[in-house]
Amino acid sequence: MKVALSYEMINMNSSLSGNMNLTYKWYWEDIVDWTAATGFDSIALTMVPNQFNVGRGGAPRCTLAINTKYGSAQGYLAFLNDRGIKDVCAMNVSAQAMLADMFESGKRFEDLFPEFYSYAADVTDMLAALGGKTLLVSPTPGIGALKGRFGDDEAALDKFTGEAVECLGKIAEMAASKGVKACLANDFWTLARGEQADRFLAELDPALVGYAPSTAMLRIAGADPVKELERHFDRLGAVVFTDSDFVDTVDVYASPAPEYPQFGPQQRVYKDLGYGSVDLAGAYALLKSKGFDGTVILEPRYTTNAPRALLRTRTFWTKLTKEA
Amino acid sequence: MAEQRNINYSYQTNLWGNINYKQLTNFNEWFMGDYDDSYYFQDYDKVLRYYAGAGFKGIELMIFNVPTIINIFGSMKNFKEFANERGIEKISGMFSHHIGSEDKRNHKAIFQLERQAIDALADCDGVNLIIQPCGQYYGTGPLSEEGLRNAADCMNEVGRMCADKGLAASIHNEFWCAVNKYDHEKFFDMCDPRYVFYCLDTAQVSIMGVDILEFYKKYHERVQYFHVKDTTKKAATDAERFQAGAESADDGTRWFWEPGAGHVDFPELWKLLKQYGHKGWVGIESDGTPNPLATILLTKNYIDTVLDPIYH
Repeated sequence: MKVALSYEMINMNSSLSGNMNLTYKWYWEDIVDWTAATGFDSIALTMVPNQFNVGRGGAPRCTLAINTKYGSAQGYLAFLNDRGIKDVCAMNVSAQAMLADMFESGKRFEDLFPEFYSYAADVTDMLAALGGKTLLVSPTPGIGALKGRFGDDEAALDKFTGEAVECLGKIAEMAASKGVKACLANDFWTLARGEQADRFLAELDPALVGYAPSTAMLRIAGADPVKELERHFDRLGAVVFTDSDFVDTVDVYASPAPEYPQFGPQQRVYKDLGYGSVDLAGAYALLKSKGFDGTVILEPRYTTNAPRALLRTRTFWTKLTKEA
Repeated sequence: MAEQRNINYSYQTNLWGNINYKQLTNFNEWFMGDYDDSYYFQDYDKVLRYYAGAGFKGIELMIFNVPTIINIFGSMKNFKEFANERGIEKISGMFSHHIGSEDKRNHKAIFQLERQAIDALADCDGVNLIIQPCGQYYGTGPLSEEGLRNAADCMNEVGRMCADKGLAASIHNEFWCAVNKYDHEKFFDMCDPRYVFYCLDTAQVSIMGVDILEFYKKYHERVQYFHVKDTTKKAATDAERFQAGAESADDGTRWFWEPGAGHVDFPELWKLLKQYGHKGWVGIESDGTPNPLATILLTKNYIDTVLDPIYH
């Protein structure tokens, strides 16, 4: 079992003090140093489509930014290696990120899947150049956004889901040709949430499309993370460890801003690893008992303090592996 | 009775990044276990009250705020009412951009974006659409005559779209923009004075190497809005302005400061505002600060003690 740290611990949409640091190269280079200092040597990056504001900054969040600030993928990898990080093991792409970008780029909803494919292909090229083997694909926009478009038209939504499955299949074929395995990501607010991931997995070739479930995403969607890992063990390409105390009692998943609940008894969705109530010990024990040889990606998603989260994550992982 | 003022101040909200919540209600959900201050800096309820509490009556938005605001408030009009209830009287402007405007093939997508921006701004009774005229200089500049003309045509069309909705389109010229020191006046002169105005960003234009006092004297009739901010770096070199991602400089250079913390001669500029009888909203922009709340309060103190005694 390999382990990596996800830089989706940092919320690029944060409004906390110091949020403007997130656009600077120095900030992310400090994070890289601290990643190595806490004993991790592999990272996973979330990528958004190449967009003007992200692309001109120093955050490794799109291929344009990496190429602009480091010259090329090779330039970025050389930097990482020099600082003690051996590779970028995985990258995430998201149809919701694509849709959000289309607002500012003036594109039409009808262009979503072709645009998503192009963005995934661009990211896959960079991932392969960085030595990564796993592309995590969140295959649909948020259910809240889709409800805004399709309303309660179940037939239209079903047709759209079919198109999303088809697009994921094409992305997986493209990725395979570059030596990368595409894996389904299960954000709790998409059409691949919880057990709804089954449709995507059933309709797509296991040799091409794996599964990379996030534990908190499973729990929030009403699924048991340990049971789901066991049920889909043969498809697991990676497992993302996330933690949470959030219980979705008011269908936040279908709201327009699901990761920022505007109503209901809870408004905080994610916690640093070990600070929530997801059964991560159970998940780890299962993976160990079954000899999982993929990567566990540790993701203190959207932490409110990145340096603290890094230290907490190291503490969490050390305790977890020692106790197991 | 409230004092009659010629100018009122409005604060751009971009120093807060992207605010994701309408209102957080449970302090302990964020505090317990982490024991930090994150509860205070994530919702519009508190941010708007910080502005109003500091004495600002207006705010500005970024185009990227629009989807979030519509998601969490339902409409821009609802957001305006929410802001009004917290002491914010006006949403004076919205920042947008014309990336790729030097190429006519990109105009359709730019107009699509700006249609959304204009509708959103009109829906909250805004005033100014503040527009970056092109992408960054790196990779784009210098613009050819045709490229400059295309960018001006794009600006003129958006200016007309704004006028149709009772809004004003204003150029906001960044120091790192493809329209830069050597052609920014030419570009401005290419723009139709009936539809295109100017938002004088005191730091951006100073860093570009322009004497903002002379610029304002020359163009004061078309400078109908400001972004007030200071800089410690007047007249950056071409190499500094034209580098890749210049505003997010690799060494972490902080370009923008609170008024009074740098070299911009605000007292002289305010004397000119008084001389030309400028009236309306004046924007403050503090992108780059590591501590928004401290910057807001320092800025208000500078207005009260330095600017208001000259002209208000």
